[in-house]
Amino acid sequence: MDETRNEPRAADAAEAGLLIRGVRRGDREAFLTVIRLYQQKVFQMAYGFFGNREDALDIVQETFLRVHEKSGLFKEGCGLQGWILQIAKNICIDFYRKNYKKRKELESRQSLDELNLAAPADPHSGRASDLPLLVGRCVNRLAQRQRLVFVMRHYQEFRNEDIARILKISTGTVKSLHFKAVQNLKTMLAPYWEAQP
Amino acid sequence: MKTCARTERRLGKYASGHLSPGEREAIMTHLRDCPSCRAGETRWQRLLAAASAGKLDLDRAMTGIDWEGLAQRIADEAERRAAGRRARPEPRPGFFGWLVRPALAYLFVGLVLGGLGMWAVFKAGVFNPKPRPGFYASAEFLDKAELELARRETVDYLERSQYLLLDFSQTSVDSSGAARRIETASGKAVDLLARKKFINSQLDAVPMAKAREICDQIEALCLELSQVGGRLDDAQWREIQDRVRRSQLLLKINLVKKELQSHEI
Repeated sequence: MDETRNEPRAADAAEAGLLIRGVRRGDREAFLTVIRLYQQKVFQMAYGFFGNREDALDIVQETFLRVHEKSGLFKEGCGLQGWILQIAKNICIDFYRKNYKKRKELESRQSLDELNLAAPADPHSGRASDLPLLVGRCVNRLAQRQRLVFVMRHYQEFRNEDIARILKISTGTVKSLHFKAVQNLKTMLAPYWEAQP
Repeated sequence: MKTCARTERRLGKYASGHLSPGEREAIMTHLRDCPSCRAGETRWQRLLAAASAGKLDLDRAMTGIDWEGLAQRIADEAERRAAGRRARPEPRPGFFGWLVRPALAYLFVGLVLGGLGMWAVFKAGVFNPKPRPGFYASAEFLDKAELELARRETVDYLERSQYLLLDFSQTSVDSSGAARRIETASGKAVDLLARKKFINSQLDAVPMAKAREICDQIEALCLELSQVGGRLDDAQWREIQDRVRRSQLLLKINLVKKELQSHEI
């Protein structure tokens, strides 16, 4: 993975318990450790959800502020990563509802037809392809749960079991949502894909 | 062809890795021999590769973020908010708060209990009592009752008149205490006149012609007696007594009275 994806490893159960106890006591260093461990994962989820960097950073901040406030509610023995990502998911949904109009406005600024799909998908080339942007836009058009599952599976590279635990749904539902998401993406991308040489 | 259709339906799951090893092996075997399905599988793989290309956008977005600075800012904000929460203790209710809260609680409980009570009362139908059976009397019964009342009043009037006339006819002017007895008779005559006024309306309403005629004669006599009072001389006294005797008023009263009593309803 490149330099932007050198994510810290997740804390195990014992370490998570120690960190959360520290957060409850007001230990700044423990809280900073929790943030350092999980802020990139929260950002990935939020960015996959909104496709907007500033919104994703706001979600990261709001998530960890809530973690600090609600640290007393964390049940030791449960996964800290799952708990934090659940909080992030709830904040994402709240944020989405509050800023729905704003998101629609952002979407409408550039139509899919204006995107440059012919260029190679290489960010280091002279003119990068808009394919990732196109896919991101199509992902943003998916239904809420399909989008969450797709982002966690492809962007955060979670296993189906982890996604099921974080979203509190069964593994079968995760598979079904992912399959529907891929099918919908296929339908949305088909006209542009067929146009490729 | 059947196998192709089945494979086509399962290509999406195959490309996404959602199939069991056995199913996966079967599809791989079919793909080796079927160029059409292989082309479909290639389309799926390109799609998934394109979908994963979205990660490039994510990587671009994550480039240049100062993660350590972000963590510090979040920690600062969290500490600031925690300090704010500590500095803002839960307000304690004042004197009136202590008074008002139980009062509000009692009021609420009272409203609930009152509401339940009213509901029970209305459900039991206390305010909607069944109408009591009304008294019904036929017109014939009412006529009979009126006639009976008139008959009784008339018999009573005739009896009183009879006593007065007997007393009057048996009293001589020169006997001892005559003046006092005449005075008493005069008072009784006034009383009978008042009663006659009362039974007049009843006598008009019922068919008792004989009784009415006798009553009218008695009334005329009583009127004369009440007007003269105790100022009667001997001649006047005897003249009235003779008139009563001649008219056989006592006998008529007796006959009418018996007739009325015999027709008692």
